Amino acid sequence: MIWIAIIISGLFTFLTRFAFIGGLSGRQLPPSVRSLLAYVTTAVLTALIASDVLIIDHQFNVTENPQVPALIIAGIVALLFRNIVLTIAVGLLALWVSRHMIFI
Amino acid sequence: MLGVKHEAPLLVGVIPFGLIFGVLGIEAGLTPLQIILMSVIIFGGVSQIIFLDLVATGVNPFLISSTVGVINLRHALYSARIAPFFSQLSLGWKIILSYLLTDEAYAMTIRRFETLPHNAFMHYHMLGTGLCLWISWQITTVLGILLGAAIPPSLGLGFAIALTFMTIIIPYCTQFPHLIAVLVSASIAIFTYALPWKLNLIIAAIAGMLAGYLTESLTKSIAKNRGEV
Repeated sequence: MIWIAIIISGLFTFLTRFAFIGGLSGRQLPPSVRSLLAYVTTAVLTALIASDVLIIDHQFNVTENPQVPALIIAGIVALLFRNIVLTIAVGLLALWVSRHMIFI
Repeated sequence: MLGVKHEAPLLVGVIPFGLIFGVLGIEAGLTPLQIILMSVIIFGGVSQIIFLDLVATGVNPFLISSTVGVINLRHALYSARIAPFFSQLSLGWKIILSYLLTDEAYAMTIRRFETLPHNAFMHYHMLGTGLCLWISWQITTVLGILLGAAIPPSLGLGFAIALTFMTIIIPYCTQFPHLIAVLVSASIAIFTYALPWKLNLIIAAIAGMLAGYLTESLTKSIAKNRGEV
């Protein structure tokens, strides 16, 4: 099943990259589509973060959720340092602290 | 060769990503072969980490592929803008350069194409850039796999993925339309969570994109009106 997903994903990705270079050369996307696509990364990643972090056992939960303070701390670190390895390290450490010391 | 040299600063961003992908791949329970071939077949950093996230939550392969497809749709923008520079090349060249068209390779290449006068060998610059990124991505994926095998499992896989995603979107959040896209996408993802097949992800992504786009158009037209008064 994973192989099917890898191959189809690869095919989609290649065809997207090839679309204009290979076939539609010279044509441009309309400005509205261009602006819309500028928000793809933000919108998709946010949806994934929200459903991974803010939902526990199929319930929206931010009050008894050790991941929330850890995410906020890591968010501040990300904003200040823009460093992915540092953000992950601080975030995982903060999660451990909040799991063992705050939400027992 | 110049393409390789210009690429060096960008590699600082690619190396940790490849390592993280390799580690997370192992933690998500994929085999080393699946992880390596994913880096070869898809060759798109963020989308590969999304893939792992969805595998970990037990989503079916078609939904995984469509989410990967949606996130990589932004490459159509790059393809459209870069295509006129490649119109004289053979099909083989077009296929190779399309395959190598990542965020970083595009950023490097388009700046060069648009500032320097055209010459017949410019595409070699992109080949150099692309291959350098490709090799770095494959090597760091393998190193990440080795690292992942050494790290004990369940150090918080899902959360590490969420943190990776957050580092990517945080720089955008200083722009108002992106901030609105974030708020709308997160709210919709939670409100529609109960829907089957993780449909909430696609709905939230579309809503977030529309929200960002509409905010951008609105702020532009307000600024324009002010200018006229």
